[in-house]
Amino acid sequence: MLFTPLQNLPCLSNEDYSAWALYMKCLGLQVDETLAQQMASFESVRNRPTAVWTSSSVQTNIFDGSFLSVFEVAFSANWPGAVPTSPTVGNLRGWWMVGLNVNLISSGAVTINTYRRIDLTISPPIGAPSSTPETVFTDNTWESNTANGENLLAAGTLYTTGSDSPSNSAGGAIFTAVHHNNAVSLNTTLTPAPTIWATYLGDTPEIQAVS
Amino acid sequence: MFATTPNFEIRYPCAGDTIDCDTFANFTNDIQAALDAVAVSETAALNRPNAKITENGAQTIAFNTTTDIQFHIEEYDNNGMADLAVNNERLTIQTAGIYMAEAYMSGNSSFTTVSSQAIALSQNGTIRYRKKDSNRSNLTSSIHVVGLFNCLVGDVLRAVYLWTGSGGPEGVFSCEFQARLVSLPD
Repeated sequence: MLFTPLQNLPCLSNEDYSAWALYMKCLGLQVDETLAQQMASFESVRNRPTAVWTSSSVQTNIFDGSFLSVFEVAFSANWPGAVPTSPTVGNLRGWWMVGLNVNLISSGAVTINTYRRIDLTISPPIGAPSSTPETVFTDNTWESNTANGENLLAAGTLYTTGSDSPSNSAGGAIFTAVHHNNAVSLNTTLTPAPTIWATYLGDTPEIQAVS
Repeated sequence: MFATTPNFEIRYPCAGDTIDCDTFANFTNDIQAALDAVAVSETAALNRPNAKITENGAQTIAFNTTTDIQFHIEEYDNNGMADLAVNNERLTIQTAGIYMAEAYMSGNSSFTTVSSQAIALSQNGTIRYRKKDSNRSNLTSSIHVVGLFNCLVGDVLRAVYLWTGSGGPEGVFSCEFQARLVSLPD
């Protein structure tokens, strides 16, 4: 039996030209396997690993430099392994889009024209070369004297190298630091609830092909 | 005893089976069926549900009034999510899954005083994501929001706008609203 160089499809040779049954078996199995891989690839395009975490309780006493920490899984799809209860970038090499939305409201009187800022930070996995969390996105605004709170939203894409090649952001946890110069601490609200999300866009070659 | 492949059930003969014209016909037809199935999957991957609607100035919004933004231009829609002739303030989900929705609003506030503005994304009337600024005053402004939604067939996504201040109404200078499927239901 001979085989084509790229797809490994069989054809009969001088030594086995009468082995039709074997030929059809080899060809059928190879076609089956190749098409199954192609179909899985197509299915993965419209079924990206995705997870959304939210918070069902108000977080209070958020001083300058505090981290939002109370999150639970709201929903997910096709995540690699079990979805962590804390927001995390999945351990897949490639591009991810991540986002954070939170409503921050003063726990007391607003200090007029003070800033509010959120930093979306990805921490490195255990064993990574650097142990310093990496801030990937930031949003900031100013609270006037309306005392109605400010909704902040940070979103964007980041690249991770996955577990095969540890980097600062491979499969790292997502943290959200809050910075402000309000005189008193801030609270979150549940309308809408604080939300963090991560969805896999694809590996580098696919991104290049699409663009 | 003929056997079949594990994924697409392509029939092939085993030792001792009689091979005739039907054997080759079945084999070829089964491969054709497998190719057709992959083609369907390819088409679905390249045409994920995706819609975008826009507005360029027909709507005005009174101050301190939460308002669904209305749209009159369908940029594209490959899954019947937009029906602007019937409901011009929504995208209606036709295929269940997780969607990324995004809205952008640029208001014309040159004749009014704006103390805050907010744009939100709602699902069946419940606001899920919101972006608000209070740091602009009496300026033409723009604001953007994005988020993920777990949607069932028939769910309604809307872009919602609210501004506070005085005067007005504020005109919608330009606005975009889109939703696209990113994952299938678990």
